[in-house]
Amino acid sequence: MSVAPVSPARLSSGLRVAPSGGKAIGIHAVLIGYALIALLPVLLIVMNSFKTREAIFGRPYFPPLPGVFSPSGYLTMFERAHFARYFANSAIVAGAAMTLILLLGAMAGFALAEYRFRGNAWIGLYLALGIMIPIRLGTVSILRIMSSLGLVNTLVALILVYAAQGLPLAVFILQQFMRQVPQDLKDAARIDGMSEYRIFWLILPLVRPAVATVAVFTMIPIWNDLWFPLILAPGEATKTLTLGAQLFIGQFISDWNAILASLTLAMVPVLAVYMLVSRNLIRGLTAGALK
Amino acid sequence: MASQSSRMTPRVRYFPTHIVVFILPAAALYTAFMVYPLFDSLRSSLQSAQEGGGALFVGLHNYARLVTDSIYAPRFWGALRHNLTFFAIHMLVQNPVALALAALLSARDLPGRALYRTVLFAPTVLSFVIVGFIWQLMLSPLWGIAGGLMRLVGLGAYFRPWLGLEGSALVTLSLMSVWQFVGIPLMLFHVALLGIPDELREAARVDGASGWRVFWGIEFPLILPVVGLVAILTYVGNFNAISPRTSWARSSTGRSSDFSSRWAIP
Repeated sequence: MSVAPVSPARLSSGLRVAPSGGKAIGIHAVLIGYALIALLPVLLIVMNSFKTREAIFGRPYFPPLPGVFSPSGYLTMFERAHFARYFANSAIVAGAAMTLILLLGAMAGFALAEYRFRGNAWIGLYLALGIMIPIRLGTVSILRIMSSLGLVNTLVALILVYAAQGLPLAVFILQQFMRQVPQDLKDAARIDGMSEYRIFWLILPLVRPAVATVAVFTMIPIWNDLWFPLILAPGEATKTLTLGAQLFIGQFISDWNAILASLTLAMVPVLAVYMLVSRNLIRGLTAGALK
Repeated sequence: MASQSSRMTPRVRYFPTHIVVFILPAAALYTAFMVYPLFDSLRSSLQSAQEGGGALFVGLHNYARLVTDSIYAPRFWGALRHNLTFFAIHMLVQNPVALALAALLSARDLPGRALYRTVLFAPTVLSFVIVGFIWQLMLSPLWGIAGGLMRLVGLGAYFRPWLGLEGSALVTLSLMSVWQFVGIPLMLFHVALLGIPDELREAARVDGASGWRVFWGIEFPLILPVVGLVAILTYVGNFNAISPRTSWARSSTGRSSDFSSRWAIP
């Protein structure tokens, strides 16, 4: 039996013993097995996107080493479609929508958490309602509104819809975290004569972990969405990466190099961001639920 | 919500301009582009378009047509049935798998836990569309990844192009969705299990209970509220599952995998 190092914080809960021997091997075997199921498809796509057509079919599990390496899929992609533009569009939409969601969500969350006024609970409830209702059900009206505003085929249309869709959850989560900021801090600032707006900017950095969690949870669905780009902004100049990849693959269904390359390009940005923040993200989730 | 009153700042007596400034932008954006469109769609559903523009209030006539009309009704009911199958598969496969993995992941002081968590949650962040294409390629008889792996373990004879077969397309789509979203219930169960005080497990262990007994006798009853929450989330998520059919499997499977939420939007 191996005894794991005991951290001071955990001493109180008695002896801490790591799973040992055969049991530990069994646990790791199952977890590694499932991790392979989760990762293998993604790995195979990424690996084969850098290989020649013969190698993709002949040796699919072989890494893209010299000899089987070929960037031809990527070349086709950049020749035939404006992937750099799609990428920029996705980044602009996700970035702008996220900025709006975080800023406006934090402002509303701050007001709901900080001030007692008539209708506080009702406004909170009203803003939270949208968490459960899919905005897609209002698509017909949204399209009508956007076309009357002359915003069809603009990125602004997407930004507005995504911001509206993301706000309910952002307000809800940020409001919970704003409540936990010590009251003394805000009162001290008030005694020093700070305006309420200054106090907001003082508090905002203190809820950074919550802001990061909200940022990722709102960014991922926006980045991945196919529905609104297809309906509100399907034009060549405003295509997002997900839509661009989907249409591209539809056209090049028999060009395996190009398909694998475009899938890789569509996956890698979101996976990279996820890997960067995953530790904090999962910690944020854990902290939120254990509160 | 009730607990907040005790730690609120002084009641505002003058006109609270700053509160309006803080709340109005979010409320306005949300109202204009989410609440209004939802109500407007609901209103439109009770109207019928007339020749030369204009709309006529027809009550629930449109709904009645959807469920009885000889053209729409079979497709609507078919889609609803597919939703129920989709939901059932998630309840029977996704949630038990998530619970099992969460139980293993929550073993005390498991080395590499953070890495496992990162990897197991990763498919969840991908786009539906991309996941659809990934599995279309994995299951393609042309590339032969799935078929090849099955031959490796001696099951090669059982491989079929499941995604393209009328009988198995819906189940395959459901399992693809399970692969993608198993991370969400997994994390919820995991967090709930971590929240159980160790004293309870210790007490049972001292009394000689096995790991299996501890799980079903102590841990599972304590995380029952989360099990309920996961069931509700699965149900809601399943009826919002619009993308799989619109973007996945543009194969020859016809309507054997149509979803009711796609029908919610004409």
